[in-house]
Amino acid sequence: MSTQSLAKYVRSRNRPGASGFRGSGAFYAFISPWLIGTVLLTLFPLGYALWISFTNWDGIAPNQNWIGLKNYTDALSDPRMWASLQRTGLLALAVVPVTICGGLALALLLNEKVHWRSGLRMLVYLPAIVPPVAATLTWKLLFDRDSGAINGVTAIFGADAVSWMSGNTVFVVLLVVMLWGIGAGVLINLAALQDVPAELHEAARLDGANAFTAFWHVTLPSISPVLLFQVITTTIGVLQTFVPALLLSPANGPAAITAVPEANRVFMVDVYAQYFAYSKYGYASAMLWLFFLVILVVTIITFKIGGRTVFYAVDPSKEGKEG
Amino acid sequence: MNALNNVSRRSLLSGAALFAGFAAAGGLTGCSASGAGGAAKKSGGLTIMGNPGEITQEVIDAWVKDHPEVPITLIKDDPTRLNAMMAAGTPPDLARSLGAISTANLASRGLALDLDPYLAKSSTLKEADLAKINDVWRWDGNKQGSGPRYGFVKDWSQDSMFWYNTEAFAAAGIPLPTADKPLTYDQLLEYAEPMTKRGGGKVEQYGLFATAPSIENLSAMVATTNGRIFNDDLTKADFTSPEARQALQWHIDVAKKQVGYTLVDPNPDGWDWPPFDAKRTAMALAGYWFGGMVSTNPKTAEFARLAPAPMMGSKRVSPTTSATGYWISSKTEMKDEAYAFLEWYCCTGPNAKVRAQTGVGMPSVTTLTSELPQALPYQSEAMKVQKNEEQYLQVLPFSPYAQAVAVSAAIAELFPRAATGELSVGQFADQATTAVNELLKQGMELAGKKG
Repeated sequence: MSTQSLAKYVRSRNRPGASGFRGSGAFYAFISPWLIGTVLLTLFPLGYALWISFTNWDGIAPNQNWIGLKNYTDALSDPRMWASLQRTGLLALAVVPVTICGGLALALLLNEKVHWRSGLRMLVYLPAIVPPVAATLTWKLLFDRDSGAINGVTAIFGADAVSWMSGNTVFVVLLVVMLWGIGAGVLINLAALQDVPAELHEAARLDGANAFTAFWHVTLPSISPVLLFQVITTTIGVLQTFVPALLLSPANGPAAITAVPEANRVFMVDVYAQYFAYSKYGYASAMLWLFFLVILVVTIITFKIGGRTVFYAVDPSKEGKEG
Repeated sequence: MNALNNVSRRSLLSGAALFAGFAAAGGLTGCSASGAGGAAKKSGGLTIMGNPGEITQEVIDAWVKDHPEVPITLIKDDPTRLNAMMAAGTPPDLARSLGAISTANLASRGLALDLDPYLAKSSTLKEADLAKINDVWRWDGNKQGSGPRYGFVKDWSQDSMFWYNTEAFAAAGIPLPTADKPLTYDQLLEYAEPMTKRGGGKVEQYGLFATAPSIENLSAMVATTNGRIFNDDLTKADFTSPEARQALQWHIDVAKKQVGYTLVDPNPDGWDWPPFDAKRTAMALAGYWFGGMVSTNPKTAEFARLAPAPMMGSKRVSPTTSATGYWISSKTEMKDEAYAFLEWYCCTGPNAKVRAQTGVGMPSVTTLTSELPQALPYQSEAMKVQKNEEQYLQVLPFSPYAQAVAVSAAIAELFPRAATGELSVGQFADQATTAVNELLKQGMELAGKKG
């Protein structure tokens, strides 16, 4: 049997309809753990949150009053929400380019044949495997005004201590915490760089390309799909920043959320505060759905731009078509 | 042909996979419930949300020794998680809360169990033995202090009192506070300035305790002017009165003069004991219970003394803003067992006696008052101040239509802009009033009450 006729045979055997559920029953039965998990743990909570977003429920009251789109209109006219969205956007604009460009630069350096290369790679990647909670709390201690090592170092040069953990300077601490885990991207870039065919570089060199030209015309297009993947995942990750911002709050326990300095009140912190400090479950759910739309739009725009700039060795639109 | 022969290989595989799927999903759902706030409940046991530093393993072991049929699963005290558990419909059997600011909310929403029938038939606790402070946990549908009981105090203090470092006061040439003459809030501010020591941009010692314009603190200050934040039926709050604005202004002045930790210059330790113990603050805002912390460090015991609650007006009021205790969920399936633990832990058990002996608070029952420690100078002096202070004890009214943490959060959010002068005290008061009343309105709507 040829490959094509085998494929036709398999398709006809597994096509639902003619043989009904019997043919596809095993398939659905085997994927049921994921299917049931997705329905119970993702789709149901999402639907429930959507329902809650049209009520004024406070999380405890036995009744949930339907208030229509009020939570959405309130959120869209709330300057606090726009401010937290703006801060989140600013954080993404600062973190994403530095993470992508910095990660690529470090990967290029670590791709060279240098002494202690393995050790250096390990050092760069190490911060990425430290749990974010531990990393944030460590930085919090280092930046403490009265007993932190950062002010201890600047004091050597005669500088006065800085109140890092309050006012706008706490945003700098958040940036440091976010950028500290850059090593994860480095590792992905390194793998992509090592996948670039050596013969392409060889050809470029024979054509008289210098190092920069070879990087620009050979390396960058070759790893562009990986870079696009990183841009999308990093952007989504940064937009959803929550744990570091909350942990950099000076207070502990229930007061932590209310004590987060304004500069670090990113969107998810605001949502968390609406849920658990103000008990506005309906309003917070509406905020989350609006945020979902924001992330969706940002992702679509990134894909559109990426579609024009990313080079695929195999064109996915033509793959499988017989020429 | 038997039935087994009718089972094809395909249907057997399908069935097995389907079963595995349901099992896995069920397991996942179970994990999720536990992780998202629900507690894995031991069969026949109690789930208690409390402080592991208070309900220690030793306490649990002592309980289980006498009640082997009622094991305990302890969840760390966390109001956020408690809210999440209640929202999920799986509250713990017992939970720790601040009676002074939680009772109205818990009782009016039917979240807490009425304890009166259980107390009436108790053979180990008589109502007459309960300290008067337990009335904080009573709610009659309109006001706190009368009606059914919804919890017992674990131990209590008058929370506007403060502890001070005698050495810091002496070094700055400031007379020590006395047991019968409280300082004013303005005096506190004045005294804090010379006791605040700075160097190279760092603060070596703050003169004042950490401050925050929480609803409890503001209510306590305003009470000394014979005023109040909430109206008579607790449906509205007002921060625009002259006395409330004065209290807000005092907090702004503390932040501007930088004589203590505030919301804009936060305490990295999150609470007053670590900096007070390390001599990084000359005062700590805490009542009698703080003596239990002082007892852990003999050096601190030499300089730490308790002072009466300060005054903003001319009326002496020394409120309890916590009256920490435990309440039983109305949804519990183990009402008798939960009550037995509540009574044993808060009032009649061996740990209640130990707590009294170590001075971690005034006891819940009058029979344990004689157990309070008086061996060391700081303990006997603290007892003297405490005894004198009790005549000014008052429970401040708090609305049942909002959670205290939400009200305080609404005020705290505005504070940084007020501290930098971006908001005048009048604007701060207006915006806080609007924000808090919006929360109260939402609570009333959900309670089916018209504002």
